[in-house]
Amino acid sequence: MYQCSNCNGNLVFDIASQNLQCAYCSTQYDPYEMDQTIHANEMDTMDVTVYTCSQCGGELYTTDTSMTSFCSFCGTEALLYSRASKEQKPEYIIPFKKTKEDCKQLYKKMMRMAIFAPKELKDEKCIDSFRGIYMPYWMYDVNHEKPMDVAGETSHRSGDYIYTSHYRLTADLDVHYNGISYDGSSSFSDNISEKIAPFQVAHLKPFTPAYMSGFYADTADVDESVYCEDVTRFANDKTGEFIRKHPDCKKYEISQESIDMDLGNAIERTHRAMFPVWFMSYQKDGRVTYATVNGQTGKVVADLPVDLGKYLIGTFALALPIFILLNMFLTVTPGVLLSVVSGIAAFVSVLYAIEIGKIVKRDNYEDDKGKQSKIKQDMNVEQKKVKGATMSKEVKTVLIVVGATILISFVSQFLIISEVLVAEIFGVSSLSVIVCGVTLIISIAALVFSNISAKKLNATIKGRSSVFCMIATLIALLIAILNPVHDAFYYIGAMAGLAAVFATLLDLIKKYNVLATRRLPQFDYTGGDNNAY
Amino acid sequence: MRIKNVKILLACIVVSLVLFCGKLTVCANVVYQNDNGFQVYISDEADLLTEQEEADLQKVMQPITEFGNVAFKTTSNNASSTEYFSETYYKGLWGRESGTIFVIDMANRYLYIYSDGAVYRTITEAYANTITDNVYTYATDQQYYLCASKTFEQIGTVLEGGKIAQPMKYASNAFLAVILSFIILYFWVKIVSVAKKPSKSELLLGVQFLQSMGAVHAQFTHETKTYSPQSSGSSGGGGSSGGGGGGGGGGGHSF
Repeated sequence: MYQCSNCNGNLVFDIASQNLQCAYCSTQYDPYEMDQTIHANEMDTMDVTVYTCSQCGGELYTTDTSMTSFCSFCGTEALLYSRASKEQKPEYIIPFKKTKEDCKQLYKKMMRMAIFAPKELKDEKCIDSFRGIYMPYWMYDVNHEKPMDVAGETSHRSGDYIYTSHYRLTADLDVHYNGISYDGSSSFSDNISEKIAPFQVAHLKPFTPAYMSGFYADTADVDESVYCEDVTRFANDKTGEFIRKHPDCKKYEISQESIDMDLGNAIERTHRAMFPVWFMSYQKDGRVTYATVNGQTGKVVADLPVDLGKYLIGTFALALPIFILLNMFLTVTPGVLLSVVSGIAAFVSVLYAIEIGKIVKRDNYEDDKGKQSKIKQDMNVEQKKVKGATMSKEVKTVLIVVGATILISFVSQFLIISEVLVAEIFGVSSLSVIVCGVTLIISIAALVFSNISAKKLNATIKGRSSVFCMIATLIALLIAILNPVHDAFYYIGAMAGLAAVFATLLDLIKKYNVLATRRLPQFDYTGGDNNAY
Repeated sequence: MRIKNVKILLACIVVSLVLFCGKLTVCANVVYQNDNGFQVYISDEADLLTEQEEADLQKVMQPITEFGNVAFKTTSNNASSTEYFSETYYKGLWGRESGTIFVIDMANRYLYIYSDGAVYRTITEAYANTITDNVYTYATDQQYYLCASKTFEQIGTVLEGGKIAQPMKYASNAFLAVILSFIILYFWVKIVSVAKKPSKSELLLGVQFLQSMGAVHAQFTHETKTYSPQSSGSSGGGGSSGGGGGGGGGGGHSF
C-alpha cells in the first residue's frame, strides 16, 4: 500500500493523469518514483493480498489492503478470504487508459443495440460493478532474422500440358515481431480475450506495483508453452504474406508449407505482462454473464442473453408486417402449407442441434486452450480423454466430408426411389410425400445429434425439444401419404406442426441464453459443485 | 397426281366437317352472349345438374361476361390431369381470349378453375385455389349446383372488386408470420451478440514488428510438366424451352 508523504492518505493510480494520486489531498506522485523510494529492493516478487472467493475459488490479488466485497468471476457477494502472499512480478504493464466512466459509457452504448437484453444488465447498479483488473498475459517475441530459402514455382500452359518451373528463392530475411500476446489466466476465457484484443504493446511500460494500486490483478496459471503453436502460426503466416507480396517474389507461387519449413518455430523470448481490462459479472439462474472492456482501447465484449418476454413482444411486433406481406403475395394450398411447415420444422431442428453443439463446445472449454491446459494440469486428465476432446481438425474435416457424402447419396437414392414408389404404391402426388419424408430424416438426424451432444455435458442441459419438430414432420408425412380430401386434416397437421416449431423455438432461445452465459466458474481451489447450473 | 389431289380434297372436307361439327357443338352449349361478344358456356357432360339448375346457373354466370367469357364444364371421361384438360378445353373454346372456366372432373374427382387474358390478372392462381378451397365440400356432398353457383358467385365478386372469405389463408399466414418473425429475430440476435474476432492484420497492429528482406535470388532447379487436357470447346447450347403457355393459369382442389 502506498501512502501520501503529505497526509499519509492512500495513494491510488489515477488513470487521467497516469500518476499515483492521494485520495485525500490529491497530491500526485510518479509511479516509478514511488517504487524506488518504497520498494527499492530489486526483487522478482512483490507483496500482495490475495482474495479467494468461498463460492467458486476464484482468486484476485491486489497491492491494496482494502477489502473487496464481491467476486468478479462468479458475481456472488460471498465471503472472500484474504491472505498475504508474494506474487512474481511481471516485466511489463499497460496501465489503464480508459477510466471507469469511459468504460460505463462504452458499455451503455453497446447495450443500446441489445434491445432484448435483460433489464438487469442495463441497471445502473450492475454497470457500476465494473472492476478494473490487470489480466496476466504472455508476450512472445519472434525473430525471423535469417537467410531465407524457400521453394517457388511458376507455371504456363502449352497445349494439353502445364509446365511448372521450380526455383529455390533465397534472400536475407529480417523480420521481428515483439509482443504477440495471449492471456495467461485460465479464469479469463480465451473466447473473451481473443475478442477484446489487440492491446497496443507500443504503450508498454516496465512494471511497477504502483500501477496496480487501486486495481486488482488475476493470477497467471497458464504455462507459456500452451500458446507457442498459435504464436508460431501467426508469425509464420504474417511473414509468409510479407514474402509473397515482396516485389521480387510476386511472380512465384510460394506455398505456406515451404515457408513454415524454412522458418520453423522462431520464438526467441517470452515475457510476463499485465494488460488492463474492465470486468463485470452478473449471476442469474445458476449461470454467469461477463462483460469486459479493453482498458486501453475501449473495445467492449459482452455476453448478451435474451429476456424471453421482450423477445416475444419483438416477435409479435415483427410478425404484423410479415403477415401483411404474406397476405399480399402468398396463398398456399393446404398441401403446400403442410410441406412448408414440415420444412420449417426440419430447419428449426437443425438450428437447435447446432446450438446444442455450441453449448457443449463452450461448457467443455473446447474453445479455451488456457482453461484446457489448466484442467489437464490440475485434474490429471487421462491422455486418452484429452485426445478425444481435442480431436484434430483434419480428422473432423474427414468425418464431416464422409458424413456429408453418405447423407447426400442417401437422400438422392431416397428421392429417386420414393419418386417412383410413392406414386405407384399410394397413388398420390409424390412431391409432398418426398418433401415431408426428407424433412423427417433431417429432423431425426438433428434430434439424434442434439441428444448425443447433450450427453457430453454433465449438467442438466437437455437437447430434447426438437422431438416436437420430429413428431410434426412425421405427422406431416402421414397426412401427405394418406392425402385426405378434407382440408381440415392438412390445416390441423400444419397448425400442430407450427405449434411444435414454436415450442422448439422457445427452447432454442433458452439454449441461446445458456450459450450467451457461462457455467459458474469452479477453480478447484476450494470445494464446490463443478456442475452447478 | 390426280389421286393425290383427290386425297387432299377429301382430307380438307373431313377437317372442315370436324371443325364445323365442333363449332356446332360449342354453339349448342353457348347459352348467352352479351353485347361485347363474351359468352356463357355450359357443358354438363357428366350430367350433374338438372335443366332447371343449368338455367339458374346461367343467370349466376351472366354478370361475369362483363369481364370475359365464362364456362362451366363437367366430365367423367378424362384420362389426363384436370389442369391440362381445363386449359385445353378453354383454349378450344376461346383461344387466348379473356375468360374463365370452372371444371368438375368426376374421373379425377377434382375441381379446377382456369382463367386467361384480362380475367386471369384478377382471378389468379391464388384466388382460384382459394375459391376451390371454399367450395370443394359441396362437391364432396354431391351438391354440384351449389358448388358451381358458389364458385361463379365468388369469381364475380372478385372481378367486381369485392372480397371473398379466406379464413384459412389468414390463419395459416398469421402462424407462419409469427414463426418467421421468431426465426428472423433469432438470427438478428445472433448477429448482434457475436463480437467480431479481430483479423490477423488487426492483431498485427497491436504488435511491434519489423519486416524487411534483401534482394531475392531465384535459382532454377528443374521443370515438370503435367497432362491437363483443355475442355473441348463449348458445351451444347441449351435449346430454348418449349413455347411457354403464357397468359393463363388456375388452381383447384380434390373432392
